Amino acid sequence: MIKKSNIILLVSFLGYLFLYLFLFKNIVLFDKAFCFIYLAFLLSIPIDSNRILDMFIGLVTGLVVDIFSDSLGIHTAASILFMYFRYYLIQWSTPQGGYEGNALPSVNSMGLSWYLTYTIPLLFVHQVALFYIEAGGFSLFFYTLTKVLMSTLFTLLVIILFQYLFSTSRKKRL
Amino acid sequence: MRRLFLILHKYRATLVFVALEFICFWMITTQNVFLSASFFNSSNSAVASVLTSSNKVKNYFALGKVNEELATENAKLKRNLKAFQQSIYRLDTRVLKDPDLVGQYEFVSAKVINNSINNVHNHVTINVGEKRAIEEGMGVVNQYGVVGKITTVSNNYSVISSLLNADVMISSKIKRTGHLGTTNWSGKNIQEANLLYIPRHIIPILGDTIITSGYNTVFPEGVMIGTIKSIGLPDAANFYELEIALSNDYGKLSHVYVIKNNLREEQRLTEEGIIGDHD
Repeated sequence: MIKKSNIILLVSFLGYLFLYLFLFKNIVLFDKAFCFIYLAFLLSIPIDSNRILDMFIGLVTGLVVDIFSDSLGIHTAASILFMYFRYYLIQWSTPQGGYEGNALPSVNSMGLSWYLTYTIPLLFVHQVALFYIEAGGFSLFFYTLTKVLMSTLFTLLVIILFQYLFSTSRKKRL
Repeated sequence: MRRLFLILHKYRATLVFVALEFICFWMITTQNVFLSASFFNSSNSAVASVLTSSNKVKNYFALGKVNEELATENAKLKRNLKAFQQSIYRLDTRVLKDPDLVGQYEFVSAKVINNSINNVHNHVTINVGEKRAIEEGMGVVNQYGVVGKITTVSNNYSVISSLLNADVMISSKIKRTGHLGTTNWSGKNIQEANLLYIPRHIIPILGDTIITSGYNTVFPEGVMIGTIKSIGLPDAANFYELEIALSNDYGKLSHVYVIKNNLREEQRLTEEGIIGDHD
């Protein structure tokens, strides 16, 4: 029996990738602010999922994006790094009394402030890795840094927006 | 032994992480080997057909503009042809008569199905490939000038490293003086590139036209690259720091021409006899 939550994950994997590859990949504000909306999928994976499986999901997601953008390895490396750090972020931001069983990391179930502390560092790490690998080093340090900061902000805004747009299960928080 | 396994088990996530990242960096650094396999990029036929259908939607909005551009180009070519037919004194008779030289370059028209401009290494995917005898290393141009070089070819699609790719170097010259330099993108502004290796004794002027040199087998001589936008000459430097305003708008590529040089192999072999002797 396939679990319902897995189907939702699969749909959001396809949906977010499609959105990124055919829409958000072409939207770059001020030549610097990118929106990596596919990270919203990686962020939405359940909190108690297996760490190693997580990293392989990151690998697959990154590889698909790379194949479409002719940047073999760059998005993959950044996505795997993202998934590796996700575990530590979840541990670090554990609320008092721990997580409920099979809790989903979303604004709805965990609240906005938790979601921000969970998301911002991860986006920043992902984008630092992505842009500095792409630039091939630190020769354009400050130029790349502005790209990182602006993309983190843009991606964050869109992801939060999507959280409010597609919040289906309105669980009451205690 | 048992403790070793316990340690491995404890740090298994980190070990998997390190292994995966290692694979990624290996893919990034040996990109050329991988890309020529033409599976892990957008010339992969499944990926390319998806890109084609997404591009169809995009095209629909640009139809009018593209038509206008093609018509303008047609008019320009017709004008050149008429001028050519009517000229009485044909100076370079060998170029006109020798069938090998007349047919040296063939142009294969292609449609752009994917394009990137915001990365440091930008690529363009087009809808012609091996079946049309496209090979790695061929030059690509459009009516406004240089587009890039072919890097990967699959059956029906190819990927181009566009001029907006920090790894691409294009042999170029200042049209007015004829001096040789190299065009390379700086990685920042999509309307600017750098012209390298122009020595101190030359006096470039703002607005000088930069064209391809024709010294290698990729581009014919005289394909437009851009015009000089700013000139810098640091005191201790051997070379100028020149910025070029690019003639092509890389954000709007739609139809391009792949250049087949029929004398490519002959030129390569001839040069190899002298230049390649030492390796």
